[in-house]
Amino acid sequence: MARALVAEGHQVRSVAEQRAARTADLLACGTTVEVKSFLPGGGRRKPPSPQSVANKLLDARGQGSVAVLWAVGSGLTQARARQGFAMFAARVAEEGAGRLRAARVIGDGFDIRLRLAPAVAAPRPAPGSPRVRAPGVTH
Amino acid sequence: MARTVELFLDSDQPLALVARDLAGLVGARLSPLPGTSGFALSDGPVDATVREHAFVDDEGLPLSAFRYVITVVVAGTYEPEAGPELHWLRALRRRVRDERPWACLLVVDLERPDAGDAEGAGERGR
Repeated sequence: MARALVAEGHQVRSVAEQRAARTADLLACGTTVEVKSFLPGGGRRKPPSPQSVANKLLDARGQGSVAVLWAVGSGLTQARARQGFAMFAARVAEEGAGRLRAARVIGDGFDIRLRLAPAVAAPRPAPGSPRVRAPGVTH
Repeated sequence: MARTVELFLDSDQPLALVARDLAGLVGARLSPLPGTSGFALSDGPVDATVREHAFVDDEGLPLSAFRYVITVVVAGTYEPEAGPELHWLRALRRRVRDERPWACLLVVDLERPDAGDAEGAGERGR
């Protein structure tokens, strides 16, 4: 994954893991990047589901500004990746994106990018305050 | 990139109380998780986080039915069974199941071919 980012021209270095903290994996041109991956096909029970895509992206919210989901070799299809993105975007519109500003899923033959608009990326509202549905997710 | 094992847990108690209770059950050190509302549990070589989660149901597992998730990163390996982390989480689940009225669900790895076995993806408590 880091090699792929370097090939795109980013300056990449790994971030040391800290005990008792949720940290990003990489720093790419000064931006924190959390990398999630799917096992490749040989070690898998079946191809990743849209729910699995959504859950990995949701989990990355607390760890970096950019989430990259590496699905090469896993059998994830572009259609399922987009379904997962839609689930993720719906949840983010309700709850906020935490630290995340952008997300990306890289699979065999596809590279889907999602930029989260500032309104969506805002912190979660305080308990008891009215929820605002922010549709500002762009592909 | 690392793999994690997770114990999903449902309680009507606030997160801070649940985290403190869990730490006491296994003798772990409790500390706030920087930048979040969650907590960290440290017990020897094992580091865990306790937090609310927003996961959607997946692979037939009702993850959304559980309010909290305890996550342990499996250090340096893709084989959770080989390290102390999964043993620690199973011990915690045992204590929760025996001593607390909270439902729990241990999720080892949703992606593995053996996920349907008795010690596979979802080990439901209560």
